[in-house]
This record gives sequence, structure tokens and C-alpha cells, in this order.
Amino acid sequence: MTELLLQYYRNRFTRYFQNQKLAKLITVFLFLSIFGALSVGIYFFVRGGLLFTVNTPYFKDVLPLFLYEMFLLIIGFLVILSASITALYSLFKRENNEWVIASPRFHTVPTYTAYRVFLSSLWPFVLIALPTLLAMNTVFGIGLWNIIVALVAILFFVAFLVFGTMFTIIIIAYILSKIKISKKSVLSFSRLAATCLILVTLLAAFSWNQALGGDIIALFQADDLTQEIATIGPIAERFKVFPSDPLATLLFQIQTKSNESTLALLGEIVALLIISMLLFTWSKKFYLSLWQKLQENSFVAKSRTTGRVPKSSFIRFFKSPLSAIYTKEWLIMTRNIRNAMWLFFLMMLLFIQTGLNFVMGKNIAVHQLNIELFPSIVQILQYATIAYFISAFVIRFALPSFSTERKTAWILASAPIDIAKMFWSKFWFFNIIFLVLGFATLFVNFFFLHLNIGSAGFLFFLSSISIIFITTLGLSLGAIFPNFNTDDPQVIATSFPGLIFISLSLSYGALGAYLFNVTLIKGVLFPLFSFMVISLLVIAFMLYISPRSLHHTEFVRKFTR
Amino acid sequence: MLYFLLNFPYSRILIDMLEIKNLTKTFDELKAVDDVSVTIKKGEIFSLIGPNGSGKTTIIKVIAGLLQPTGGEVVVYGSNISEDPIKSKSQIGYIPDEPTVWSSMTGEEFLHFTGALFGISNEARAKKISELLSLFKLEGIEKNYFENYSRGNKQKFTIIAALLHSPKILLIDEPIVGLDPHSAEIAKNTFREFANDGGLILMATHTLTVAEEISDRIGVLKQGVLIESGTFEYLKGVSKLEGGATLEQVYNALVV
Repeated sequence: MTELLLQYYRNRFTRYFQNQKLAKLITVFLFLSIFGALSVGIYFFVRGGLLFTVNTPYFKDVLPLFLYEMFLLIIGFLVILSASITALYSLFKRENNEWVIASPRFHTVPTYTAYRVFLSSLWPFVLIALPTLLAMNTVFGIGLWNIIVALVAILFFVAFLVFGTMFTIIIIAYILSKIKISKKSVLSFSRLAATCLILVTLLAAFSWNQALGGDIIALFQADDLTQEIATIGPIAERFKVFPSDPLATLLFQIQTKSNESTLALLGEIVALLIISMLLFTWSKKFYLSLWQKLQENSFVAKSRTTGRVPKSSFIRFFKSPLSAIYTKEWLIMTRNIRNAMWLFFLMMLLFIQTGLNFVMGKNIAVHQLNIELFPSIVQILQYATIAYFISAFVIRFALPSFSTERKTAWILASAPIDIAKMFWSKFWFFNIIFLVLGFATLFVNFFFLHLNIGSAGFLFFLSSISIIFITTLGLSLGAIFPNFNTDDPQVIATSFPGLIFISLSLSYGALGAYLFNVTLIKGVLFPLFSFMVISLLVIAFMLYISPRSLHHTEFVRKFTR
Repeated sequence: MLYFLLNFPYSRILIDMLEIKNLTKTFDELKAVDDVSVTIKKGEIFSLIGPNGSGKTTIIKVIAGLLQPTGGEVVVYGSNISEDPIKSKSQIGYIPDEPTVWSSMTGEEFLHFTGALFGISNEARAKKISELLSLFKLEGIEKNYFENYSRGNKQKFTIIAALLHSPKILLIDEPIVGLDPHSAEIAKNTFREFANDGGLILMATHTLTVAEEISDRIGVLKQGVLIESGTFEYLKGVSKLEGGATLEQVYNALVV
């Protein structure tokens, strides 16, 4: 089975270049360019940070250890969250699985799902870990052997997280299947997904409290002026409860070249991996019956008297063709569990960022630190964060929204309405949602950081233009270059228009942040003003061409006889 | 003068029809439809038959406005679909081969949504939906999500959606696939009544018994070309088959 699976991926890779070679070569080039640019950015960012710690003896031990612990904790948590979402769907909702489930090799489904989830969880680690290790080598000269040991440890750690997550999902499904709330209750996918997300949220709350609760300044012993070098004891003590601690400690030991217990730490990670794999292997025996039970829900709903009936109806909003189309966008978005889970994922990222601002602001307020540039730096950071997160939301939800309409496009395309309305409905819908999201984040941060009204108003104005620009850019690329070869939004996000969008939106956000920095730090307004005016002109241009492009769109896959 | 001509009773005979003139549709280098011309009159049921990939669905999709013609033109009751798509589409009801609807919409919401797209008022569509749900025996399940319906029920909802706005033309791609025998009978009777009431039907199907049973004329497509078209009797004649021959035998004689 594994051989077949590997053969399938190999064939998919070789077949990828069989047609439209130039477009696909450009796509791969773009992908590698973005990957490379981000890696180079991370390399210089980490190198700068590490050089700072080298030149600041007081923090030289404690700050890197804290950063390793925090970084692995946050990334580990995000791996668990994304692995949960991918695994839930791949295990229980993937239509292609029916063929394998009907075969005598049904037990291979969880195994190859684990491979897939592992591979999809790995690339962010590699993207960040490799340049980080290279930066560590530049600053501390850790050597090739240590880089290899660290990479192996990271691979094992990700595998541990993936197998642990999959084991937990299967066990939660098993427990839920045994709990009967009423006579009619059946194990439903939405209940399983909600339970998993609640557990992940509780895990996040616990981790947050353990890692960042209390006085951060005290954690670094910064209030003790008699100390020459902060000791790592308080941080090691605080983080030792997390399974990411052995890996963080291993990285710290590699950095300080105190390698006496490196192998022992690697052994700890291997032990965690073996335990999670054994538990996962054991839990696979429940899989078939759980899969069967999770398909039953739809059969129950096919009968006349029972079924999953929505609590609210949107019929009252279907007043005119236009209101019907707007309402449809809202209905489809809010009732899709997969969308809801990815929205949850991105919101978690946003909460983490907002939470970190909160911790920073609170500690600065408590210790009455007078940092002159602090409000400006935070505003720039705020702007960059909003640009980045809105880009993430747009690429996951707005950009693929035309491509994913392929199968249902017949409903709008055969109706007596201008198909361009499809663009406008998405334009208003996504802009309103993203503006509300952006404003909510800004409000929360203004509250924590006590910005004056003038600064807050300007940031609001700049952020609004940028949010509309990024959203319109995503929608325009999605409308002009739809991808009807897949229904998977994640695949669409990494195809040609998705990669173009990533390059443009990241460059746009970076340019905006840079010009905002010039305005705030140097007091020069003209470049930022020009940036905003040009943004508005480009938005107008995109709104002119994109809806018209839909008149020529044929919502079909490539035709073969 | 033009108004008078268009409204003069005999002139309507020239307009009340679906005209497909030299229709061609290519996908890259593949000619899916090759110079097809057919005129279908009011009250007529015209079936397209042919092997997989012969262009039946493509013709239907071009007329429904889902694909753009590469060459030729389609005129719906006097309106060219490329020049005045909104007027043309308002006269058409389209039933696709795959009844795919947003999975998280209920059957009832889908029907109201489609009705709203065609500009039918809330009250009027509620009344019509109720009648059609009853006809197709779907009452009681209309509030379930679309993803939970069987294929046959999904098909019934798309049939109802196509009939909601009382169209003049029905474009049907595989009319009874997935329907149980009783529902298939209801669907066939509905289509026949629709034509008897002055509607016009263009249907693409592999179910030859249905085509034989309800069609007035049949067109045979092969690799995008309309190789024959006419009444069943005419097709039997050109196939040089006996009087008791079935459409399946005619099909085999003309296509295989």
C-alpha cells in the first residue's frame, strides 16, 4: 500500500509537467522564490536577534532559551491545530477513501493519512527551522553535525505531534460514539470537530497561562540589578511541562556547545515519538467502525422524519436577485464546518499575536518603562500584522471562492442575471468581514496600548485601504485566473494565482509597513500618502476589469472526448 | 411597424422557437460541437442522443449560457443568447446532468434562492414550491441539507427549480437518471404536459426508451456532428430498419 501511495505521488509529480509546461514552470519558480525569500528573511531576522544576544551578555543565555521554548510551543500548537483539521477531514470525510474502505486494505487509511498530515505539517518547520539553524551556525558556529542532529530532532518532534494528534482524534471519536445523549443521537462529524477544537482551545489556554502568565520581567530577573548574567533556571522550570521542552533544550545545548546530554534529549524525543506511534497503531483498530458510524448521519437524514435540520433559515433574505446572492455567500460560508475550522485556525493565530501585544503592553505598564519609540513600533507592527493576516484570510477564503464554484456555477450562470454580480457579492461580503475583523483587532490593541486618537484614526484609515486592496487583489486574481482542476482551496492557494497573490500581497504589506515607518519615525508623509492614493487607483482598476472577466469565464474543466 | 410585425399572430410562428444555427464549440483543438443546426418549435420535445463525448451536454450548456459558442448562433424566442443573454435566460429552465447544489443549503432554501434569481415574488414562489414539492412527493424533507439527499431527490429538486419561473423552454440533460420508476413517470408526464401547454423541450439523454417514448423528434450526434435528425419513424427509415424496430436498434445502426 505504501509503495502504491509513493508511486501515486511520484506519478502525480511527473504528470504535473506534461501540459502547460511554461505556466507550471513559472508556478514552481514563484513557489521556490517565495519559499527562498521567506527563508532568507527568517535567516537575517534570526541572525540579527542572535547577534543582539551575543552582544548583550546579560541576556545571552536566557533570551535564546526563552525564544526556542516559545517558538517551539507556538509552532507545535499550530501543528496540532492544522493537523487536527486536516486529519479530521482526511480520516472521516474524504470521498476518495470509500474505495479503500470497501477493500480488504481499509486499515491503511489512517496510516497513509498520517503520512499525508506529517508531510503537510513539515514544511513550515523546514521553512523556519533550516534558516534558523543556519543563522545559529553563522553566529555560534554550531557545525554541520549539530545542524543534522537538530533537523532530525525536529522531524521526530513533528512526527510525534502528528501521531499524537491522530491518536487523540480517534480516541475522542471512540468516546463520543459510546456516549448516548438521547436515543436518536448518532456520532456526528460536527460534534467530533467541535469537541476536538474545544480541547485544542483548552490546551492553548493552559499553555498560555503556563508560559506567559505572571511577570515576564521577573522571569528574566531584569529587576535584579546586582546580577551580571540572567540564569536559565526560571525559564527551564516554567517550560519543563511541555513536550517541546526537550527539543528547545537540545537547541540551547547545541548553541552553547554543552553537548553532554544532547543524545539523551534526542532519546527523549524518540521515546515520545515511539509512544505516540504505538498508541496510534493501537487506536487504528477502532477506525473502521468509527468511519462507518460517521457516514450513518447522512443516511439518517435521508429518511423523512429525522435529519440535520438548520436552526435558522435564510429564505426571508431572498428578496431580490442581488439580496439572494449576498445571502447565499453568508449562508455557504457560515455553514461550512471546514471553513469554520480554518477560520478558527487563523483566528487563533490572530489571538496569539494580540495576546503577545497584551503581555508586552501590560509588562511595560506595570514596570512603568518609558520607551519613546514603543507606540510607533507597535503601530507599524500592527499594520504589518493586519496586512499579513488579511492576506492569509484572503488566500484561504476569498481567492479560491470563484474556482470552488465550478460545480455550482450552473445555478447563477443559467439565471437571467449579470454574472458580474457574482464578483460584487463576494467583494462586499469579504470586504465587510475582513474590515470588521481588522477593526476588531485594532480596537483590542488600541485598548491595550493606549494610543492617542489621532494615531489610532490614521492607522484605521491606512489599514482600511490596505484591507480593501488586499481583498480586491485576491478576488480579482481568483476571478481572472480561476482554477477548475481542483475543488480544494488549499491546492488553489498554491497554484499560479495563489502564488502571485502571496508575492504581491506580502510585498504590498511590507512596502506599506516601510512607508508607515518612514512617516512615523522620520515624519515624512508624502510617500505614504502616494502609496494610499495609488492603492485606491489600483483598487478602482481591479474593480473595472475583474467583474467583466467573469463574462468570459466558462466554469468547466478541460474537455476531453 | 416592427412592433406590429412582431405582434401579428402569424409572425409569432417565426419567433416562438429555438434556433441553433451552425453552432460550433471547440476546446483548444478539440471540436466538441461541429456546425450543428436545428430548429425546435413551440410544443415540441427534441431529444439529442449519441455516444459519450459526442457533444450533447456541450450543446445544452451553450444554450443555457454556461459556455460561449465558438461559432454560429443560438436564438431563443427571437433573442440571440450572445447578444441578449439576460432576456434569453429568463425564458429557459435548465436541468443539469449533475444535480450539484451547495451542500450546506437546504432543498427549500435552494428553491427559494433560484426563484429569487428569476425575480419571482416571495408569495408566488412559496405557492409554486409547495405545489411542486407535493407533485414530486418531497414534502417533509425540504428542510434537510442538500448533502444529505439521495441523487434522485437532488435531481427532483433541480427539476422543480427549473419549472419555478414557468419557462418557455426546458433544457434537460439526462432527465431521469437516479429517479425511481414512479418519480421517473411523474417527470415524464410533467415534461409531456409542459410541451402540451406550449413549452419547448431540448433534452440530452442516454435513456433511449425515454427519448423514444416522449420525443417528437430525435437528433443523433456523433463526434460533435449532427448526423441525422427527425421523427422516430424517419430515423427508422434512414436506418433501413423494419417498422417494429426500437430506438436502440436505430442508434446501433446509425452510430455504432
